[in-house]
Amino acid sequence: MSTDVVELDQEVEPEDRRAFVQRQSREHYGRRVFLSRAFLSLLIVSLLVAFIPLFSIVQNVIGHGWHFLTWRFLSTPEQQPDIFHQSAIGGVSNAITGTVLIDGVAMLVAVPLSILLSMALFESKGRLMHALRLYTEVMVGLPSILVSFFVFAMVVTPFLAASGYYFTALAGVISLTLLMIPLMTVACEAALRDVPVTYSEAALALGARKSRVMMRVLLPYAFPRMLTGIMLSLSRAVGETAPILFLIGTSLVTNWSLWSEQTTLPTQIFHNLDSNNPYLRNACWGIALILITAVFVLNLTSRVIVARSLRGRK
Amino acid sequence: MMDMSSVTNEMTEPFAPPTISIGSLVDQIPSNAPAETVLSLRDVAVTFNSKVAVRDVSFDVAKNRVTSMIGPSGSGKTTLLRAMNRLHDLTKGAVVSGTLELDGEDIYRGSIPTTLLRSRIGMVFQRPNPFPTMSIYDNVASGLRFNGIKKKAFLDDAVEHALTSAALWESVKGRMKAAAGTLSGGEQQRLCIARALAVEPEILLMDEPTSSLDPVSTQHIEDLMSTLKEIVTIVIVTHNMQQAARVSDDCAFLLMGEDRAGELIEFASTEKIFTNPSDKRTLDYIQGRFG
Amino acid sequence: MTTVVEPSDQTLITTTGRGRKPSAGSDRPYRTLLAIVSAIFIAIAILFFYSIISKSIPGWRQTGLGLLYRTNWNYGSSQYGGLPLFVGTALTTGIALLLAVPVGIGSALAIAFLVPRPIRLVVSSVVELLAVVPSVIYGVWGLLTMESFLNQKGEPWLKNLTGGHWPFSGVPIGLGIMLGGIVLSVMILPTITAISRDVFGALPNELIEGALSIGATRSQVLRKVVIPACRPGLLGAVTLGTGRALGETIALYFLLGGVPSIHSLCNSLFCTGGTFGSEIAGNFGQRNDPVSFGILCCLAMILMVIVGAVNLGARAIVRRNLQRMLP
Repeated sequence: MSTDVVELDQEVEPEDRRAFVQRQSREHYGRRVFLSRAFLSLLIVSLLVAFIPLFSIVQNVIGHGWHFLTWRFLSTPEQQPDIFHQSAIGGVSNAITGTVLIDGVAMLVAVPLSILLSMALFESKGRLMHALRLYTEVMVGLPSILVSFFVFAMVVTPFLAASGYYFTALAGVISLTLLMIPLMTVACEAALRDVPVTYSEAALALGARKSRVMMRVLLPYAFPRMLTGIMLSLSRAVGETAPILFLIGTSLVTNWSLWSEQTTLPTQIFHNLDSNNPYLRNACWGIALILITAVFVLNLTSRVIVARSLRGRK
Repeated sequence: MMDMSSVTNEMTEPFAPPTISIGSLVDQIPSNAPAETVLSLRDVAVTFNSKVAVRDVSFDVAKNRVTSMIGPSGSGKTTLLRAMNRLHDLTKGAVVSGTLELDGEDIYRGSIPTTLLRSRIGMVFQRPNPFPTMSIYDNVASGLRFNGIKKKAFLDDAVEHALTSAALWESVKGRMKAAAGTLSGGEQQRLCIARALAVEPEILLMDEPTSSLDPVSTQHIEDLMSTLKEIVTIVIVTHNMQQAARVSDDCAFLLMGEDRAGELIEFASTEKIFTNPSDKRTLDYIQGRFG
Repeated sequence: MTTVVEPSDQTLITTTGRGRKPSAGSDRPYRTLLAIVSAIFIAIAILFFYSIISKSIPGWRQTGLGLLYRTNWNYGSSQYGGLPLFVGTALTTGIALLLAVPVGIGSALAIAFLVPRPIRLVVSSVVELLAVVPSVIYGVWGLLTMESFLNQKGEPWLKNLTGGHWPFSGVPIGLGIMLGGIVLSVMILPTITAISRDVFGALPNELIEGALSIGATRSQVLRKVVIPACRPGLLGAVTLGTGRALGETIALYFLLGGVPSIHSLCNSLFCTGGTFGSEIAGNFGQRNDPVSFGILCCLAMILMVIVGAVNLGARAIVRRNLQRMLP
């Protein structure tokens, strides 16, 4: 083999070079096939390994959680068990209303603001706006707990707590709004950028104003993708514990007030898991199943929406 | 070999003298030797999920010649080309029937493993596709390295040889470590040709290699083909009839039949196809009546 | 706030004014609206950083720079040596990445290139759904399922396997760095897999065919062409996973164990521990005086700097890679 190489340092005939390459290829072929099979098997194994814990989570949540899915559990509020009635833990209606209230209001505030912000980012290119875009994108990656510091320091301490409202649903709403806005803005701006340039250029060439192009061309085209981004952000916000846990307190009664304390599904899981009562701990599975179902439904709905509305395109 | 030298002189005469540094090789290997079949197609058909894309194609690709495949879009030229190095193996539901023989060995049912076959039958694609993360040198050396050849002395020599053959050596020899993406489109396509040549294929398949290039780069590649065929047999698919007329020695004309499956209408020397085709449909096509 | 409005208003006018038509004056309400929204968010962005930094000042006064290097952490009795938290954060995230990156990228390759098409659709939808499972649920699973498994089977097995040598020395008790790291790895696995799969899916087929057509085997195509070409995107996936692991609070609060808020350095993965996130979650209740809150803000600030640096660093690397690859 090495003699070949020495020879090949000189000027060589093409047929010799070809014969050399082909002989070498044949010699190495067996080893290459073996390595290839080994590597591909490794990939399949990693896929199987990945599914073991994920399967275990789904199996446990459903296995331990499904018998909590009763009308009684869903419709009665949580109850603090006393020492003699450890199993008297009530249900989750307080957490369901709390979740709907806080996430719903936060979404109502966040959606228009995010769309406006995404339009502002889309339309302009100044240095300040570049900084704002960078901030938005970095916020998406920052730990969500940081938002609750901001809300606690800038809203709760100076305003709410000063008037006696220490834990309020309102603080949670503000926190989740601030959490959702970067997520939604990034998604909505991506949707706007996804609109073919020719569309807006055609409208601009006809003399349309930028605001009209935005309202009549860009927004309608980008709408399905924006909706997906909004739903995905919502599904993430619904599961968040850290940004609201220390702001909203707990409420054992079902109520719809923004000024009172509230419990949401994730914070109820937190408190249950934090207690020593085995019944409360076990009920975590049931609440987790409800929460996971809600998140999945939001997620799947957004997929169906986008699949439906994009079917007509291309 | 002795008796062929007279043929050589006679046959090379009508062609432009070779321009680049393959040098002495050109004198030794006739550019238009009597047909020695290197790849033969017999009743080749390609179906996708039982829909026939191209059927009943039989012709022989002659060694050290350029064979072009022309025809309107949908006539199955590219499909047929991709069948020649088993790229359809990647597509689910694709079936290639009939026989394709490389040097007398069936490439689908014979003993040649697919990966080895593909280094004997190289391919250049419509758009230049150099490996973006590799340097110019690594791109060209990649095929040899895939095949287990690691000796640096050989690789250096082979890279220089392949780049020289692709008429790119002079312009890149000072920047072998540069990323492939820094080359222009035409240079990238020649880099891809060099990458394919480095593994010393017997046949080089070219799938509309100039369709994404500017006229000057196209000219470069066309010039290149006339010298490349001294070292490798070329099969080229082109949508450009003038290009087929300029670069090829033999020509296959394909056309979409009534059932939307491509068929071979005529296979002959390029000269015959473009001056005196035996089928009326060929005549119509080359005269621009359709397609 | 008014000082902020003006520059952003100007930038909007100068950029939108470029293609201005005679009638463009009536676009003014639109531009004004967008300018106001931008100004509000610029104000919020500034306030966000300002609030955490300014509220951390009493904390820094109390701890000094010892927070960055001292080795004893006891929030309750005012010992603020943050080194154990750095170590805890690094170890849990390190374990998580060590397990999740190869498995995640390997699975993504398998899903994108090896699995038959119908199965591929199912598997990738499942992975994408799992990526949005709330972290508190990983906490539930970690505490109620994984903890007893590690305690009874996993950790004793590891200890026997390695003969109890570093870093598997000490008594396996279930709760601890090891459990936190493993649950984090499960948590970031779907994220890494889903994004990597998208990255692989976006790779032009031509590159794969190009490699095959010069005689590469399938594994060579993946290892030598696909993975290098996708490196920027994969880095993005790993960064997102890293950010999630570094910033996780709730799940780790339950899983790292130990007496609340007392941590020292320990040389085994079976040790209990704390991370910046878990300490914040564990002590947010005691935030009523400015100093206690300030110390939590210090932790938050450190967390923000670490995660921000990881994100910005990854962005810079991606941009440099792309620049090198493109003409």
